[in-house]
Amino acid sequence: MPSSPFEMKASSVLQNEELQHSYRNAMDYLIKRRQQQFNDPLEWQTLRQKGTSIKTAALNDLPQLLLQLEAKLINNGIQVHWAETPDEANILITRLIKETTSSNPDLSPAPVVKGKTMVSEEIHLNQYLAQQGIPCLETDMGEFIVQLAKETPSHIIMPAIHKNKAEIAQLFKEHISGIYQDDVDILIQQARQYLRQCFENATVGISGVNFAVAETGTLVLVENEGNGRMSTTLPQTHIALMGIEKVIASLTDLPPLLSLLTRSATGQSITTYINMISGPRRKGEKDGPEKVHVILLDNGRSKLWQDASLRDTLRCIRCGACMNHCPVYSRVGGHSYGTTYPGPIGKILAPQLETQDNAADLPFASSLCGACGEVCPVNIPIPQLLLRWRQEATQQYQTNHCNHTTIPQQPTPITGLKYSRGQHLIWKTWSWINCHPKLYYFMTYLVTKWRILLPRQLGGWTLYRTPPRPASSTLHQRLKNK
Amino acid sequence: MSLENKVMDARTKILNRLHQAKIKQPLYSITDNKDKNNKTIDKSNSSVITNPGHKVKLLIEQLEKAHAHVVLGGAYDCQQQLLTFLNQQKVNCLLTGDPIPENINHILTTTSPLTAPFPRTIKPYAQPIEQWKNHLFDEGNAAITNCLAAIADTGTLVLLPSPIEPRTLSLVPPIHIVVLYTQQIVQSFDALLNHTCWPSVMPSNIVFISGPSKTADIQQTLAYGAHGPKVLAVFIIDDTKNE
Ligand code: SF4
Repeated sequence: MPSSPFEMKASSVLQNEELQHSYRNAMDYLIKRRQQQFNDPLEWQTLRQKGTSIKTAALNDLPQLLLQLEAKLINNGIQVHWAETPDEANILITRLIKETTSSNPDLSPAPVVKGKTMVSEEIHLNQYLAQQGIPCLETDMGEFIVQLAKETPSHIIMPAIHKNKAEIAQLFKEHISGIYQDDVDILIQQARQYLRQCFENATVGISGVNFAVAETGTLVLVENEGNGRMSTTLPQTHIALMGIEKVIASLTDLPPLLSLLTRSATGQSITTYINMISGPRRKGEKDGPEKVHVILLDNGRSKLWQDASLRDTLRCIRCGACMNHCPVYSRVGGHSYGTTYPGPIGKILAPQLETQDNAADLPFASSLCGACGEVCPVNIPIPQLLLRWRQEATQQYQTNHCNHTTIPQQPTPITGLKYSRGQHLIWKTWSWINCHPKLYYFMTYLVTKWRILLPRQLGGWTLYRTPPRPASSTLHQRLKNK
Repeated sequence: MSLENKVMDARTKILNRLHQAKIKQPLYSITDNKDKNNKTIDKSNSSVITNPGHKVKLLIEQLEKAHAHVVLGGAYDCQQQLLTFLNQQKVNCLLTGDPIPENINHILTTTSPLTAPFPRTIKPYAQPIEQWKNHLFDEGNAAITNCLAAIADTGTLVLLPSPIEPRTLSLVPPIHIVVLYTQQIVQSFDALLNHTCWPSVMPSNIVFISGPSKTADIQQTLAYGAHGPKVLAVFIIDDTKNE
């Protein structure tokens, strides 16, 4: 029987034919589009190595690059803030919003407009702002749909991938238009009209950042819809929220990374818009925000960084290819994980980025088929990292019974959460038996002789499978008799 | 107050943690011979093309793939086509930079005997956006701008918003018209970086545009005009003959 929250949610999605259909179609679409972009294996390898090197080098120099970025941003007239935890970031953002609105009391309080940013999901910004009485409106079409439905994104690139046209038409009928119609073009136009009014009046815009260039103090935002440009151009104040791992050294790093990102994510050679912001409205300019703030969020990233192998996780450029190709994600969907980032990348980020215990279950929700590692444009060894987290979760808290070098001195938030005394004992005994040949022969003799007596029910295993039946003689015996 | 302290703390704490570990991960050797590889990597077709005619062709191909309306021709041709386009799209209020860039002014004011102009006002972006919102959002049904360059590999127009042509001019009106000269076309993003003085002098905003605004967020069905322009029209004026 399913026991963990993940298993419970997953099994209900597995029984939902509609959802299975939505995910399968969406994944096939994204896989095919990516495939068409990378049909030259040599070019893919070269580009991928280049992207990997750029991100690895940037992470090697992370502290210096962050300081350089900070100095350059300030020099460009952008204000820089640091936040260690989601709470700190939320408090900061609230303060910045209030500063803007209180300096313009004559302006009618309009909702904060937000471009697509997964980091804001990570810190649960919308809920926090709502508690403070500040409405915050998602403006990316997918995010907007998800917000209307009071849900969370189920995919990092296509947030409303789990919703079909009819459901969206119903939502729009209830919230925007009053009339049911399911023509996609018209639906998009309805949302466009609705959101335009909000853009026109908004005083604060919030966005994420895809890459931050240290050399120039430039924020790079990638999108197709134009809502990101709207959110960062029209309001008086622009608040950009980024994880500290988004920093790259120089402008020349951009072409390969952008190419990898857009081709892996949606199979486009480039997105419709790439917006490079290097400062607020300058003297003489007629538009653009008066103030630009950047919030550098840690939230567990520096801990991942301190560990030689977990650091690989931070190369992630959030393209979503790993989830598109994941046999688990494509069946259980994005919401089963219960984490901000679903799919393979989510499983290896969750232990440091999320608070729920669920994080310890996720590394086990994988068939280790290796597809994620194969498609990752920055070569993150996701399957190895999943194993590492499994090891972390099952080892006994604060004991160093195994001399494996990759086990850090400091426990991680999930260290030992999956430790089971019984299992530990079984493995100990198992290895003990295997280390003593006489005992081993005796045990295998017993197992082959008394194989009839083996139980028919073996916990979770026999729930979906027939019970294993030992052979009547061991391989050793058979070879001897030959 | 206490928040400020806490925030300062955050910076110190994060940086301390980052200064503690001295792990450097190995890089692929490829970065060592960066220059050799730089040019051929981005797209498989990059290396082939040096001929300017190919660049134009590729650019048009890519732009059209992204659903842009593209016209290539001499100055006079483009002008005629632009007038036809404006009439077809029933553009009755065209927004421009302020002062109207000379080349655009020339295109717009030279009257043509062939095309009867649709009654149309031309509105230069004369005031800061705060005073100009209604023109931008409600009146203008198209805007015309120049661009800095175009990238053939990806079909990208590089716009450099300025006091003359602000950022929102290419964003808010439902139709965006771009005037481009063939000599402005470069092969790749890398090539563009070689042509500009960017790392040392960065404009406050650079925008790459590669088609009309779009979304596939509803059941992977592509729809144009999500938030930005629904139509992107590019008039490429062939200026190689003047050389
Ligand atoms: S882990 Fe790799 S494949 Fe997955 S989202 Fe990050 S960059 Fe993309």
